[in-house]
Amino acid sequence: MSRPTKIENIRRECPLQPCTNFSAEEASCTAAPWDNRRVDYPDYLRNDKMPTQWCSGCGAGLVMKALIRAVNELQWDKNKVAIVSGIGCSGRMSSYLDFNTLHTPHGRTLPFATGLKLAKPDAHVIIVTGDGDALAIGGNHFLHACRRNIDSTLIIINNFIYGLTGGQFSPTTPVGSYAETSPDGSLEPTFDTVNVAIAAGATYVARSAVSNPRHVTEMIKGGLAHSGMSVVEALSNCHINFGRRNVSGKPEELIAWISRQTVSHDIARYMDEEQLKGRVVVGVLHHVETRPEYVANYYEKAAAIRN
Amino acid sequence: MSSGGFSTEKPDAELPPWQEMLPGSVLDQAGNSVHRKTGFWRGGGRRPLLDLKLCVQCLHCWISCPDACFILSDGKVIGIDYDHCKGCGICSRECPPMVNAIVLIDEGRFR
Amino acid sequence: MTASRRRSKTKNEVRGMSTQSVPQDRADSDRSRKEVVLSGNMAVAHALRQVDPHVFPGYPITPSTKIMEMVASFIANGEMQCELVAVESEHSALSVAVGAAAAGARVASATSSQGLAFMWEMLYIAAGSQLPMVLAVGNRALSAPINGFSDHGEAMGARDSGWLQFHSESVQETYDNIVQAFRIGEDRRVRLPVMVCLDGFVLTHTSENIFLENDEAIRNFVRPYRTEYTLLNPDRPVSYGLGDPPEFYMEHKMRQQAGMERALQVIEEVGAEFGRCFGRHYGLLDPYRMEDAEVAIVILGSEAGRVKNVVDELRASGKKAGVLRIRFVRPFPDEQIVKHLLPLRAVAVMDRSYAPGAVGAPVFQEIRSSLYEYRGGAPHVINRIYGLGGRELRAADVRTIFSELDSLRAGNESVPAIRLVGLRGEPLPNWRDQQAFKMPVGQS
Repeated sequence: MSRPTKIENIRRECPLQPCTNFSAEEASCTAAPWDNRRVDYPDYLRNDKMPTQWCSGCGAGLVMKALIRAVNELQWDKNKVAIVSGIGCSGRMSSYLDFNTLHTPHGRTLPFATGLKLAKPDAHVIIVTGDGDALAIGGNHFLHACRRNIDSTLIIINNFIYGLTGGQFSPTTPVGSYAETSPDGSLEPTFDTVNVAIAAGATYVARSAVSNPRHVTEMIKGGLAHSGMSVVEALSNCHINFGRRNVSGKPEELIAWISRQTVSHDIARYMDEEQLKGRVVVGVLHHVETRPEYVANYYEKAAAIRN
Repeated sequence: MSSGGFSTEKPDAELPPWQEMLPGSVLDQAGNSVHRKTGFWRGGGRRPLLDLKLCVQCLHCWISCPDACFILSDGKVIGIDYDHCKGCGICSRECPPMVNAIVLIDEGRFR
Repeated sequence: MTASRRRSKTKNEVRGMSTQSVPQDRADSDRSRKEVVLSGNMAVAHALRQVDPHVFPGYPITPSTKIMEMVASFIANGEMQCELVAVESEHSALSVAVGAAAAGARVASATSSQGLAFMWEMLYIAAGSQLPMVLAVGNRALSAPINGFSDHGEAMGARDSGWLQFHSESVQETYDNIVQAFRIGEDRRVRLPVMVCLDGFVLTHTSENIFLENDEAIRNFVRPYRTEYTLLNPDRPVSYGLGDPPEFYMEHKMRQQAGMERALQVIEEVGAEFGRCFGRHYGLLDPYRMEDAEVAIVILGSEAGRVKNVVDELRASGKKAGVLRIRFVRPFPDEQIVKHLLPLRAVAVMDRSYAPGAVGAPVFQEIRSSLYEYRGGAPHVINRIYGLGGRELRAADVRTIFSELDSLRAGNESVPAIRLVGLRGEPLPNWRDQQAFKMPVGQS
């Protein structure tokens, strides 16, 4: 796995510890002492839409804040950022963020985003979806967006369940988990989002978890800065529909459960297969600059034909 | 009764009325693709001619024809089904060079 | 449970469904039926539990998710033998349904709004292949703009896909319709898929007292599923979904049309048999106080209850008003509707869907064209489009429509032909006003 220097820098700034002692402060990121840059969240939010409709303690809010911090740190012009979201709890993010936003039908985020990016190549296209949106109903689009390597950032908030519709099992629901549609435990094997994205051709693939919001920020920031298809899977907590039936209905306990399973890429490389069993590796898991980016390629070719 | 393929090239009077057709365009017969004559594809191409005097009955043509156009009788090739031959020329290529019993002739010369 | 007690219940309860004709001995002798409180989704799920289809493919969508969830829990509890396939999208859900039905399985599914829109391609495949199946549709407005509430937009869009289409007024009727839908769709004369529509939230999420019939009785009524042409039958191999050349395609469409036309009779037969078995009689239409009516509203779905309330009020004050509720949009029972409408002086067709650029909404169009043969003797027909995206229809709105009908009857030409009920702001001045819209209909 290639590890470019840029990502090395990020890692030095943000040494990720496998988080076994979860503290409430860690979830509320603004209070975290290591968050050196002050962020005026209201600048990036549609404040008339606040508070959000997400359940209290929902990880989607943490991801939204991480996204705001990432954009803030890159000092991007708000008018140059386009958020595309689909249907599901994650889909609400386009209503709350004060960027150019596009709310699309279930699963169709990536084709809408492709059109957007091709029409406005200068825009920073950020796609926010859930696991059901990106991997089930929009699974085919996910593969092809990765294959084309379009310069955009796909943030998959993976909460292991269809949250908005009330807790049906999704392509990432762990085998044996209870859901509304699997009262005896889910039988279906899950997608490994990261490996699917790598195999399909995405050029920046990272995984993170809301148990470490600063890490989510860094992963998203890396994806935004990367030119090409960036996929960031953010493991998130749906304590209402997933946790309540499986781990715990309390957000802090479910986040701690996620945290216990994650292990940093830095540490994971010193672990053998036996030790890694049941652990989810987080960090930048794939980053290459070798594949041509589609939109730039397209405009280059178009210009060549015109001349 | 359903058509099971494309044009049957039959006059209207020979086709069944709707009452006699199965619901949902279901087909309950097998092997009726033989009724679908694809030989017209050869129109702008080439027609294979088989010289039985030269043929050594190696059956290479029979096994390699994608459209099963070589007619067998008692295990021997006796001719080519031009109703279904699309003129790909694989048979001519597969015929052993020492034998060369199949030649490709421009279809236009037959029309 | 007596008929009088039943009549005292909520508006959507049995009133419209000819309970007056329930043979009391039949209703009282059947001790095994239960009166329970169920929402529309739960009633559909219970009907499916009792019918126990072989395959249920599903994908969650508000407001009909609960159906799939309950089917899952029934299966987990061993109350159903059905296979639940939780697929990755509605497109796949109906694809699974088509595959299973072609293999000879009895299939049911449930969806709503965008889900039905995403099933579009497969709707035509199911109907064109004449594969019976039952789809519960919790009606919800289509995007964009995204809206989670009830209207009939998606169902009206699918009305020409070749599916039979039920519209239910109450939870009880939804339950009964699901049971009947299997019999009607699977009838040899029909052999078509059936959509059972229930208004999102108004029926799917609202609880009512309903009669849950005995499991055995429902199973006996629905009968074991028998098909003639199935895949995986070595004695009679068949192929589905073949290419159809121009000289056959039209004949296959005629087979579908024949199924639709015969369905009119089958619906009445099955409705009558249902009445004999369970005491609730159904026909193609549900006329309410139409016997001597002079003005009437034609309506689909759950809001019929509100209109019936207003009709009761008007009747009490001496006005001869009525309601004609249509239970089936496909096949469209034009002859029966015309029979009811011809004696009237003015009719308002109330559509809960909208067809931009068209001459009125879908049901209005069909009723007007059905009445064209009777121009001269036909009543004035106007279109009132209501409740789009879950907008509430108030009793006052219905009273206004009835007063519009009265003034139309009195020869007032200024009554608009088409109007969105409850729309804020003046309608477009050139938008199909009565003058621009004048047709021979209603000019006697």
